[in-house]
Amino acid sequence: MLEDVSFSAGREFVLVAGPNGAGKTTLFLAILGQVPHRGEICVEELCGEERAAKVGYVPQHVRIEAEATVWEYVYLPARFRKIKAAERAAEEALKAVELYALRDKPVTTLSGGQRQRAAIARALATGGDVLLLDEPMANVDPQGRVELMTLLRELKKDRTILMTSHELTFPSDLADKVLLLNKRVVAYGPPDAVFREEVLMKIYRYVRIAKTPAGFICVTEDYGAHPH
Amino acid sequence: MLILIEALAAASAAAAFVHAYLYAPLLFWPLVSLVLSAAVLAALSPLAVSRRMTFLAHAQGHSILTAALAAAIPAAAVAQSLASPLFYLATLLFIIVLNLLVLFTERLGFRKDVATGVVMSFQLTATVVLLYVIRSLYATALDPLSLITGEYVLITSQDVLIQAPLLFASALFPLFYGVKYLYAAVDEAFAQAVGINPKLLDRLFVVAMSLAVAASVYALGSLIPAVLLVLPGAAASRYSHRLTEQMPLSVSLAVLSAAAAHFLYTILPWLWPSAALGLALLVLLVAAQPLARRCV
Repeated sequence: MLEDVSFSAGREFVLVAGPNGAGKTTLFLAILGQVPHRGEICVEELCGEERAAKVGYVPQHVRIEAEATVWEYVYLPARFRKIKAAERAAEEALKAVELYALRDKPVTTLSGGQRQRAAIARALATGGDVLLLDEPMANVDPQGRVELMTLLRELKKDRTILMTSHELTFPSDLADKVLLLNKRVVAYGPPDAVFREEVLMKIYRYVRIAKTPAGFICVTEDYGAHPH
Repeated sequence: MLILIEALAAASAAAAFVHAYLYAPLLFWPLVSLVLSAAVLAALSPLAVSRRMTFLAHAQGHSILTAALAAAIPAAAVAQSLASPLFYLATLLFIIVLNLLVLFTERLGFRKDVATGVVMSFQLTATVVLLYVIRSLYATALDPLSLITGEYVLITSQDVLIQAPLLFASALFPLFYGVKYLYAAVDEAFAQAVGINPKLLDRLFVVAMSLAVAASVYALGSLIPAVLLVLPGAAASRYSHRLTEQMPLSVSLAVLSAAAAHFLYTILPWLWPSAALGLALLVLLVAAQPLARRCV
């Protein structure tokens, strides 16, 4: 259950952070109209159920449990949503994530990182104005993460991206804002304003913050602070 | 590959129909019934395979026998044959109830396979009771064996007319929702996000399966419909990994097998057509194996 959640985002990248069970996925499902909610959720002035058509979604667990080609995986949902020029949308989305060359391959043969990119392409093809990415970095190896972050840097230029993460280490130039959730909004603002110890200590008791020379904000476990 | 198999299926079906019409007229309407039943059951088959419902599909063999035995009793009581509309409708009613019982049992908190097993256990018990009732009360009017093997050679144009609306109704599900249902099998969470309701489709699929099985039981018996709900879809997934090709491939493979079964039966009359159909499907499945390895 989420309460008192109120925020707005423009064409920017918002990192939705918070501990497990904070309501990050629930927030996304509410935006998609899949869980009941009170109040108003609008996407580009669409406040009814029709707003879901403007939203591309990458679920937390990208499970692929039956056969389909990469093309079908991306194109068919766009067709189901009756997106105009669904074929072109799917083609452009696959090109954007650099998977167009693999479009005839079974999606089950893709690596973890490629699957995440395919899922992002599918989200782009089905409603690319707003992207909701639910833990896209989970189950992706370091190489895949770097590729995904590079892709997201490109994508955020002309759309709104909300990405959840329970891990708080990320390149500081990627997120424009951070929405810190724990059943309600704990903080919302630029990363430097949110990732401060006095803010994080409201929900995390054993963490410390560092910024690497390469520009990564690292929020790591502070085992020394734990009373054992 | 799809076009090749479709062409082969169309050609072999045409050859079988011409052969039956000219050289074995008594087998013409049985063949029509066989091809129609095989095509509709096979259209449902990739859905059962992709949605991991093959166990439930196989349970149709048990369900349909129980349902057909239960339906045979009122049909015999009012002196109607197993080819009567009453028998078909009563079978349909009982099979839908039995299939929906599986979904209901799932809602009680049992896993899907356990729920299927629980209902199957009930069906097996009911089958023994029904067989005993038939043996005691209608021993001369009803032959339970015919419900297992089917009355293939007795099929007439009248039977096909009774079957056709049920098969047509069943085919509506794969026609209108097949691709969406297959996609829900690929990624259920995302399918929901784009407005597909997999749980509702599960229920509709079960009803579609019930319609097809009830329509086929008099011609094919209670066992082979279950085979047709699994093997064509399993074979199709070996021939192609394209989601959109699964249903046309599955139907083509089933029609090809039905035509092969017709010729096999005319050459080897001791090989019952429904068994020949199962055999042909197994051959097509095994033949696809080297191809499947190459794809992976």
